[in-house]
Amino acid sequence: MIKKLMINCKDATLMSSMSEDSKLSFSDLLKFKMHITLCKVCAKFDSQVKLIIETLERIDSDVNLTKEEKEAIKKKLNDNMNKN
Amino acid sequence: MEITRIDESKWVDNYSDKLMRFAYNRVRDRETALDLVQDTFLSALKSVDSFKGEISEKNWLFLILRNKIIDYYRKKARNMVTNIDFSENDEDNHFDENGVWRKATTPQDWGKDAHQSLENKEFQLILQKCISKLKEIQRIVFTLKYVNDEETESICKELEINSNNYWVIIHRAKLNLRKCIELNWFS
Repeated sequence: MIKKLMINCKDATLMSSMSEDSKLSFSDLLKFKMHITLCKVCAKFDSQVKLIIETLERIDSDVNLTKEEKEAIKKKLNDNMNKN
Repeated sequence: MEITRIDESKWVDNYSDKLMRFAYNRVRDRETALDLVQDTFLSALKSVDSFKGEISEKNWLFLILRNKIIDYYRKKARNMVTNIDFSENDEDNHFDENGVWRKATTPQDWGKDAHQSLENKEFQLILQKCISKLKEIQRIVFTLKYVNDEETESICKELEINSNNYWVIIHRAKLNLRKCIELNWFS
């Protein structure tokens, strides 16, 4: 019975993305949860990936358009407006 | 409810920098981002008549840009997907034949203060560098999912990949990305 519930680390880390999307069957979810509870390394993997994704949400670049680029777009828009 | 009114003459001044940052964060190439922003305005201009005012002008423009970004990646990913070599196994670099972590790639402790890295500019830079180092299909799928916030189903549909391949690609992207960050930041 217990053996049936055992999955390896490779499968557990794959299932981690699937569980995020609620794409695991009930029995797979059970196997995944059990593995993550018992395996400290996979739990670490999971929380580190979460940290990466959370960081992504905070990244902002300071890229801006130059005056010339803005003028060029305005001109293009104007040309297209007159066509209509 | 007040209907949103469109004022094309103010688009560039009001939104171009914000749209540019949004695009740049997702494609990480200035020229490409600039093209996408310009295309967004031109498409918007063409469909002004169909704008119903149900969302704000700003959200409408961002929606168009978001679709442009998916389009851009779809074109890039075309043909790439059928060429993915699934026998070339990224996972083997991380796990042994029993599916157990290899010694060299076992996730290490990132320390108690790891969560503070979130706001750290240098950490953010390394993360971006590591994303750009991913194999292209991994970078595209990962970016669409976690930066552009697309649903898994729509990514599969747009890039014409089946869901099994999708999970394999995402899994590989995460394994490689995590390892790259550990090597460059925490060691």
